[in-house]
Amino acid sequence: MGRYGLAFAAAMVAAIFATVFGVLLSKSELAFEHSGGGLLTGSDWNPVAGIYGAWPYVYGTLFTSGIALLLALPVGIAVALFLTELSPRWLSTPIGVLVELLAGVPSIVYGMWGYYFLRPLFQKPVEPWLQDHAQPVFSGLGWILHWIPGIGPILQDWLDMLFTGSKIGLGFLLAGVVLAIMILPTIVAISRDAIKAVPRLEREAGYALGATRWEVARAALRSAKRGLFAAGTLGLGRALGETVAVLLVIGNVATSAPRLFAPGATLTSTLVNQIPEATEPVFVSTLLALGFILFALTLVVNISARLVIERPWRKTP
Amino acid sequence: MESPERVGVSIEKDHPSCVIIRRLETRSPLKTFAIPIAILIVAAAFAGCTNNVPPSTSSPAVSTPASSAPTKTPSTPAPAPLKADLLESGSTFVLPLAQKWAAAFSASNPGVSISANGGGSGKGKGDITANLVDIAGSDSIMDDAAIAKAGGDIIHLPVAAGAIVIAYNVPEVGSTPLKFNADTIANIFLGKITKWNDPALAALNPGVSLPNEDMAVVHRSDGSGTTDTFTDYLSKANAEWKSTVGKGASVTWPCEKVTPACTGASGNNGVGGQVQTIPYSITYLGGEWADITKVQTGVVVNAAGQAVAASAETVGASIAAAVSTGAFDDKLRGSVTNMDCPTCYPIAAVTWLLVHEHQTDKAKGEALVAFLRYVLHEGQALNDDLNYNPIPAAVVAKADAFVASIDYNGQPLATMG
Repeated sequence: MGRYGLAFAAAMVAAIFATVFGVLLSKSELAFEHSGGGLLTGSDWNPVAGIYGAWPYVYGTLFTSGIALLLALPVGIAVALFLTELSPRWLSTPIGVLVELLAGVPSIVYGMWGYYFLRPLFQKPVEPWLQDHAQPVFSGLGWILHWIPGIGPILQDWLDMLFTGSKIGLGFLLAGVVLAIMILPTIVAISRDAIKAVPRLEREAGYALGATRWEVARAALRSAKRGLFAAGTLGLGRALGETVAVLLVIGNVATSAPRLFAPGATLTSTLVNQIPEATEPVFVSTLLALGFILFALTLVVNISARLVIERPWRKTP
Repeated sequence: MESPERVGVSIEKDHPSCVIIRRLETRSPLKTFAIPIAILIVAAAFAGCTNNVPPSTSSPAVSTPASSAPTKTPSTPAPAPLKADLLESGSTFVLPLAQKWAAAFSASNPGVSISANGGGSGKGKGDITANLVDIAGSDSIMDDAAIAKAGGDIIHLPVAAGAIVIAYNVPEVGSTPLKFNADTIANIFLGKITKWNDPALAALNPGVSLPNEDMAVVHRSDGSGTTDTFTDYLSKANAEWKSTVGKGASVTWPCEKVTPACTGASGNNGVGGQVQTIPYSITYLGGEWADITKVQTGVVVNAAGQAVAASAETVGASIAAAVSTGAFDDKLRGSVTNMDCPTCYPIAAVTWLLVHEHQTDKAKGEALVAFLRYVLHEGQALNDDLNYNPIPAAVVAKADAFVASIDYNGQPLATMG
């Protein structure tokens, strides 16, 4: 009989998924009729005129989540490796507890910390310093790349404006950094478990062959590859969906330029900003369509991550 | 899982295989509880279907479930004390005040509990249309089409007035308020004025040393009645604003394309906080928040050419002018911005409570009428405490007539109370 209970629980999950998907799809039908593909590709968002182009929000979501993953994944794996392989037990246990505590901190707290503590720091020393010192490096890189036919000049344009913007602290970079800090505990916790799960025999074999501690750690990292990938995926999923913390630090402007210091907006921040006062049926439907786009985005991320991990096109496991 | 024999290792007591086998042998607690839990869930789901009556004014008075019957008396005799639970949602502009009114009214009428929930004017209008709440707070009106959708009997009661002020953070300028007019405000948010020492601002403020600094323009990122009023004013007072931006609770801000430091923040508290912390920033915000967020505010030149600061008198003058010029219609709907009188503060706003004229629950209707009367009269004294402005007496008299028309089954409820 136990299996029916479990099957019931599993069926509930499937039902919830189907309902969320169905409701979002049916409610956003009006928006897709109104805007068509322009909803995804247009960059003009003007509810007064009834023009809805959500590209800047899709862009903001991808840009900030990308920054977050780029910063958090290497650091997170490094911390996990240190905790499992190198640190003495008296240190790894308390740090492990701290990581779990940080993973449980509500996102609004990270947002407020970002707004009150990080923003002034970004405004004064961080962003001007990056513009003076990092921008020349990237501009130089752009000059080298611009010889590539086709995309070269575009890349150069992008790299030329990477470390520019309003420099008031609020913007893509601050949002990305706050997100990175938020997803770091998740990434550390999952990678640590993945590395821990590497069989002891493998390590012992390594030592038996005369490998150093560091070499054994690196081998363990290679064995734990899938787990690390899962850590990245889960972290990215959290970053894509994060709302309130981003709202506080991103500046809430529809921007689609690769400027790290420019204020931007994400799908989620736009939703929470505009839903309370949306009364026009098309406007409401468009906001639900943004939810649908976000849902589809996370689905694509999850599926592609799964494909990379499982590699069904390969014969051998 | 490989069996230990095959590997040729002697079985240890805590070898993983043994642990698994031991666990399988003991009866899983899940098995014991799964069926009762599943039954409970199914039962709860069914119970939810039958008991889940939405808190609506349209449900008949007597259809309360048996379990809660003792707490509710459906047919209250006329002289008995008021007894009802009222729900409010909507405008966050009026929310702090609505909560004070509710608390004060419940203190003298212990049988009545009023829960004020906010959520935004759009939510309030949607909720009253769907009969989910008894009172909706809104900073904008419902037009005839919207009223028809809500059953055709929505009445608008102006209950509080307020000003939207221009707040800024310019360390070089002291506490003497800077002067703005419609064109400079419009041009700042259009992205045409980007420096604090712009000639247009300097001409308005002779003798003030304005710094050569970039403006950080802050606007509301969330849809808001404050933005609606602010853009309503600019649409009336500046032709370019009207043609390029227009009026709405969420608009596209042209300065975002021009001024690098044009950003949005959520809520009055958000924009106020941003202006307080970012030097050379400027925003518009609900006047009652200027004190809370400790920001410097400016004066605005009105349609009659006078520079006016926001106050109870200057906002009241705007409402009076709106009533006398017909900017307010006979249903007390209208806009009070950009009024042409010497003492009018031009960016004035009114907040309404929206209720159904025809009540479907007598006890609720009686409590509602008593509460609305309280809000329009004694309750107005609380407006000052929270830095809102009271509604002028001439408008209150008109609103009283609407409250008197609220009925239950065709009988006016006001005479009973």
